[in-house]
Amino acid sequence: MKPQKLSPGLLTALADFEQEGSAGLLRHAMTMGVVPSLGTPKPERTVVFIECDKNANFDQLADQGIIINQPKGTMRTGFLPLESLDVLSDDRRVKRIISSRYRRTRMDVAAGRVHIPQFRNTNHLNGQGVVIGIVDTGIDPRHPAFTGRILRIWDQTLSGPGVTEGGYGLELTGANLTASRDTHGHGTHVAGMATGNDSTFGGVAPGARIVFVKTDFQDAHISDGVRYIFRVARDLQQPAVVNLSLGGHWDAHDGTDPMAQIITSESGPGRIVCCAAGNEGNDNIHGQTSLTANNEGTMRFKIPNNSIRDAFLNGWYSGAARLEVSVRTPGGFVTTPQPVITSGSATRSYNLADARVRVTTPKADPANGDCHFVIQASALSPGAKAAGGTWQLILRNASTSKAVVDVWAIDDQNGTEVVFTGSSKQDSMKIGSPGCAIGAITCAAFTTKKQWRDIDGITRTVALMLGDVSDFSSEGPLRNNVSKPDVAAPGAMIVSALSRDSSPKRSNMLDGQHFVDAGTSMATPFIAGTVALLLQRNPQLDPAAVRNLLRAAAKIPNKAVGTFHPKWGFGLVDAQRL
Amino acid sequence: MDYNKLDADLIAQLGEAPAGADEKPLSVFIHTTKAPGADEEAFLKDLGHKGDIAGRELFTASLSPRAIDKLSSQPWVRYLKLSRQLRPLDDK
Repeated sequence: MKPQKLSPGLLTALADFEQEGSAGLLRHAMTMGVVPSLGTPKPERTVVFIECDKNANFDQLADQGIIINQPKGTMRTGFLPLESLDVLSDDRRVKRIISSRYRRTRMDVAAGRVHIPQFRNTNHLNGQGVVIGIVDTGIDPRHPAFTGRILRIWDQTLSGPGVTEGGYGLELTGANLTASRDTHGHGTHVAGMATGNDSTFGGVAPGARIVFVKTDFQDAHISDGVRYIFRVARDLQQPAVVNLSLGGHWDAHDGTDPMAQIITSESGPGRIVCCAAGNEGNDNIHGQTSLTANNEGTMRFKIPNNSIRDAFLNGWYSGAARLEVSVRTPGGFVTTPQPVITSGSATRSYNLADARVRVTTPKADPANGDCHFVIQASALSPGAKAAGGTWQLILRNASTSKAVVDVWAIDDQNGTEVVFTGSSKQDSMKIGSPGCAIGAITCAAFTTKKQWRDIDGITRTVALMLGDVSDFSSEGPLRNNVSKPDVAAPGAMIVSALSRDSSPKRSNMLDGQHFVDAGTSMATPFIAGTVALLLQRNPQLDPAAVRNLLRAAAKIPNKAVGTFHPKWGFGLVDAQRL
Repeated sequence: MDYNKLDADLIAQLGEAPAGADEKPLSVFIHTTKAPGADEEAFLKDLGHKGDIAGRELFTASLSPRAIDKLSSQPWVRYLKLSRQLRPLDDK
C-alpha cells in the first residue's frame, strides 16, 4: 500500500474500516462513494477517481476485482473492493486515488442563480455589522451554522418575566440560549437561509448577528417581537432587518390591520422588515362579488366532508354601503338576513337543522372605514365536524351605494380547506398580514430546484416548474390595489439548516444537519439576507430606498424592468444589478 | 361594554355572553387617541397590562373580558382588536 497516493478522505474511511469493520464505513456512506457489505457476501467497495498515466492499460487488475471505467485518460473513475486499494496504489502508473463524493442540492444553487456570491465578492459584503432579526418557530442554537452569532433569543413560549416590549416569555443569552428549542424546524431553516455560516449550504449574509424571537404566532406577540428586535439593534447602534416568514388571512388585506401598522411605523432608516407573500397561489381562498344598490348576490363556498370543526369567512366592503348577510347550509337551511348592528353586541347565533352559524356585523371598522363581517360555521354538537358540502353566503345590498365585497375563507387550523367555488372565486388579493404591510418588503417564491437526493439516497422530485415563479406563491395586489408582492426570490426547493430537535420527513432530509423545504417562507430570508448586505453597505437605507433598489434589480422574464405582475411582483431579484 | 370600539373578531370571540364574564384572557391590540399618559398607564397596569408602552398609540395587551369591558369605556381608547393566530409559510 502506498498511502501517500490516497486522498485524506479515503485514508480516514480506510482507517475506520480497519478499526471497526463494516460498521466503521457506515458513517462515511452518506457523503462518500463507499458501499459497506453489511452482512452480504460482497466485500466493502468504493467508488474512486484515479489519476494515472494517460495510456495505461489496467485490464489485468480486473482479477483483483478492480474495475476502471475508462480505457485511457489521465483522470478516470473506478469501482473496487477496499482491500484492493493496496494493489491499485502499488501500481506505478497510478499517481493518485481520490474518493468520490456525493454532490447534493446546494443553497448556493439558489444563491448562484441570482448572483449573490458575485455581489458579495465584488462588494466585500457578508452582513457584518448588521442584525438579522427573525420571528419564527425557534432556532437550534447548537447548529454550527450559527456558532457565536446568536445575540439573544426571546422565547415567548417559555415562562418568565418577558422583556420591555411584552411581559411574558424569557430572554436568553450566552450559555442559556440552549434552553430554547426549535422542535418545528421552520425557524432554523429560515435562519440558515438568511445568515447560515456553512461551507455547503451557506446563507446569504453569513457575517450578520442574529436576534431571534421564538413566538406562539399570535400576531400581537409577533408585533412585540418586531419592536424587541429593533430596540436591541438600536441599543447596539446597528441597522437591522427583520424576517417574518409567516402570515394568515384574518385581516383586511390592505395594510390597515394593527400588526401591519406596527411594522410600517417601526420601519425606517436602518430598520427594514421582510415578509412572505403567502402560499395560497393554488387555493381558492378569496372570493369577490359586486352588488349594485338594492341588489342581492350569492358566493358559493365548500367545506370538506368530515374534516374541520369550524369554517370562517372574513368579509370586507366599503363603509358607504350597507349589506345584509345570511348563510345557507348544504341542507338548504338559511339564517335570517342580518344587517349592520350599531348597538350592543353585533353577533347573532343561528341554530339550524344541520349547522350552527354565528354572524357578526358591526359598524365600520375605524382603522379603514370599511365594513367587516365575520361568519363562523360549525356543527350543532360542540367538537363535531362542520357539515361538508356546498354552502352559500347570501348578501343583499340595502344601500344606495355599490358594494364590492371581498371575502377570505379560513379553516380552524388556519389552513385552506374551505374554498370558494363558482364565479366568485378570485386568484387575486391573497396576500394577508403581515405581507400586506405597506412598509415591508413582500416576497414571492421562485423555483430554482425541483430534485434532490435524500438521506437514504433516494432521488426526490417535485412537480414545480423550474425557472418560474412557484405556483403556490400568493397573488396580489392588495385590496386597495397597492402593488404587492414587491419582488421574487428563490423559494423552492431550498436546502438549509436542520434543527436537531425537529423531525422532518426523511424524504426531505439530506443529512443530519440539512433539510429541504419550500414556500414564500424560504424566499423571504433570501431577501432579508440580501437586505442585510445592502445595510452593511449603507446602514441608513430606509424601506422605500430598499424597495426601489430591489425592484430596480428585479425582472420578470421577457418583460421590461419595472413591469409589475400580481404573482411575480416586480420580478426575480438579480443581485448583480444591486 | 362599548361594542362600537371592538372589531368584529373581538365581538365574535366575546359572543353573546354578558359583558365582563370571567373567562380566560384575550390577546388584543389597543389603539388609543393619543399616547397614554401617567393616568392611562396606571389604569392599564391595574387591568393587568405588562410591558412598556413608551409613548405609543398602538400596543398589545392580554386582558380578561372584564378588563376589555372597562377599557372600551375609556374616552382615550379608540378601538380594540383581537389578536389572531398566524402560521409559518412553508408549503406543506
